[in-house]
Amino acid sequence: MRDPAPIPQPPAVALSAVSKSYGEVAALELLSLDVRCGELVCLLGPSGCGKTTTLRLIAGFTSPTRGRVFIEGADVTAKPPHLRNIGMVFQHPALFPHLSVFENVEFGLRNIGVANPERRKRVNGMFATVRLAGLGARYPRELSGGQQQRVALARALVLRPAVLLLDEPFSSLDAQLRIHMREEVRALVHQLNATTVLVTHDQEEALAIADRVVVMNKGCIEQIGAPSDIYDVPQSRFVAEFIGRCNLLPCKSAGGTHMVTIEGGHLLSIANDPAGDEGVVAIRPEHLVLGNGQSPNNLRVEVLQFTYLGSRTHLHVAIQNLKMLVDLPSAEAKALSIGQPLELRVDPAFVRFLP
Amino acid sequence: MPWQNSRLSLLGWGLFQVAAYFVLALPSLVIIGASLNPASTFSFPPRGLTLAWYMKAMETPAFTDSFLLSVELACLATALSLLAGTPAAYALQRYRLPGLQSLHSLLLSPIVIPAIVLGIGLLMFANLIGIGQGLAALLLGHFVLTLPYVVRTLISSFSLFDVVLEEAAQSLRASWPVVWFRVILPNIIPGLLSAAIFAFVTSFGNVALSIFLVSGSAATLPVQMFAAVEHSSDPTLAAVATFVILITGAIVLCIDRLANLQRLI
Repeated sequence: MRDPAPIPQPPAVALSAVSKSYGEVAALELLSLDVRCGELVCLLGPSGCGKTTTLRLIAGFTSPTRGRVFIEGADVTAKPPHLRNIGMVFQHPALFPHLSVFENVEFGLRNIGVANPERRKRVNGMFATVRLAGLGARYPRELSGGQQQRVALARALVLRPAVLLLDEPFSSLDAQLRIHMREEVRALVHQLNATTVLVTHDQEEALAIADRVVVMNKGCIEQIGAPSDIYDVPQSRFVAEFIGRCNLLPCKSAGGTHMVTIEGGHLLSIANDPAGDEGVVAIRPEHLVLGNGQSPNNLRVEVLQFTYLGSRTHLHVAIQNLKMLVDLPSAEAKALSIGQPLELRVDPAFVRFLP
Repeated sequence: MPWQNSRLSLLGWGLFQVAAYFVLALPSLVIIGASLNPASTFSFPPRGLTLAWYMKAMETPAFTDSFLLSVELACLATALSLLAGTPAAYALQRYRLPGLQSLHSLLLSPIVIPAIVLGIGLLMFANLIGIGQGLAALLLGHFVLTLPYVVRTLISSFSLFDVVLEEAAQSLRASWPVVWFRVILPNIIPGLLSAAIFAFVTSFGNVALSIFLVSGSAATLPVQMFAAVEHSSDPTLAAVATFVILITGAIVLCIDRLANLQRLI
């Protein structure tokens, strides 16, 4: 007998064509997004792009002007936050100051009526998971910033929510602790297989921990993809410039497939077909390497300035009036001097046309 | 600046403080002195010590009955003001709705309207709705009188309370009543206590409003004292006044301790 076909699992969270406007101002426009069970999705974008609004729509703190919100397949658009199966961690820990650490974590379990032997067991189990054992009797103000944020995580996760929502949870921590905490959070949510949506404006953070990154701009999704897709294959100028650093060079289609001309008459072979007569080519600074004048995709430039950064050196170069940034290993940049003409080369696989 | 550290200016500052405390405490000191004076008319400084006037005050039904009425009235008015004022202050602090600003001004207006105007207005209103003078009218009047203090105190409490805590509670499955009773109220206890002191003391000491609203048979203690001082200079009154000072002081002290304790826990 054959196994029955698996029942397709609904996405943990689904936003279906949601719009949100405040008076005349549109914060979100026709945004649709599925978050699969167990994945860690980062909403990434500059401030005002609608990422926090999206998170608050999922949580139920704001309601969409149009469109619907689903959690585990159920329409929750009209439900208040406490009837949605969510967990949330805010920018600062927002622990209840009048309750002990134990009582903070126990708070949600009381609200859903978990009785005591079980409740204590679950709280203590969560303490072990987030390495807070022994701190239960303390009050929030007696903990360090990192410990407080771990309590906030424990408090949300102990309810086993359908989705964990993190609103810039590391922004109140100092730089070193932030990196440490984000690794810890990634390990934790993967260990618990907890579906997670994280909002951040820090692209490094998003690339470092996300399974999928959703790049947002002006209330719309610009691109969704794995961190390496977002970085290597940006699909718009916004994504190319927002994620990492990128040279955007105005270009014209050169007739043939996968060929464009840029300033100075340079003919460039590129990775994709130009979708139009005019546009830009996107080249990451580290993809420009020293050339020998022979290879195709050769660019003759003049060195304007150096910025020494330890292992790497940033070169500011120009082709006539077109300025570019080049990121070279410092060992290779050592021999170069300002004003010197230079041959650079770029692999066609790393040059993409953007309309 | 050099003058800040000079010995002379420190001495001057100390003298100024002593003088200020003395002026503030003087009326109380005179009353306390007079209440302990065996002389049969109101006089100061005392020429002996006696508790006779206290005994007499406790045997005067006009004072004991009106004291009990004042306590009852102050408790009821405080409770009512807290019940109505807490949600009102919350709404005024949290929400930005059209009309809320004028409601805010309206709620605080009894502070600036002269009490005598308020008293006449309330008397006419009480007669109009048919409750006449008496406890109901007094309670209504004292509610109006104490509400602004409660609202003002609690607005500042709520502005210190982090809204994110409410959202955190909601995200942890707390319904609105749970958010109120387990998160908001425990965090504004110091504000509630000081609002309660303000309300109680304001109600307990009020003459100007009460004088219009008391019924002939049952006056509040301050009204009774006001009436008594008009036709006698009996030091019994000083004994009653001293008692009022002690009670008010004790309440303020107690609640201040409680509020401090709350902050320590």
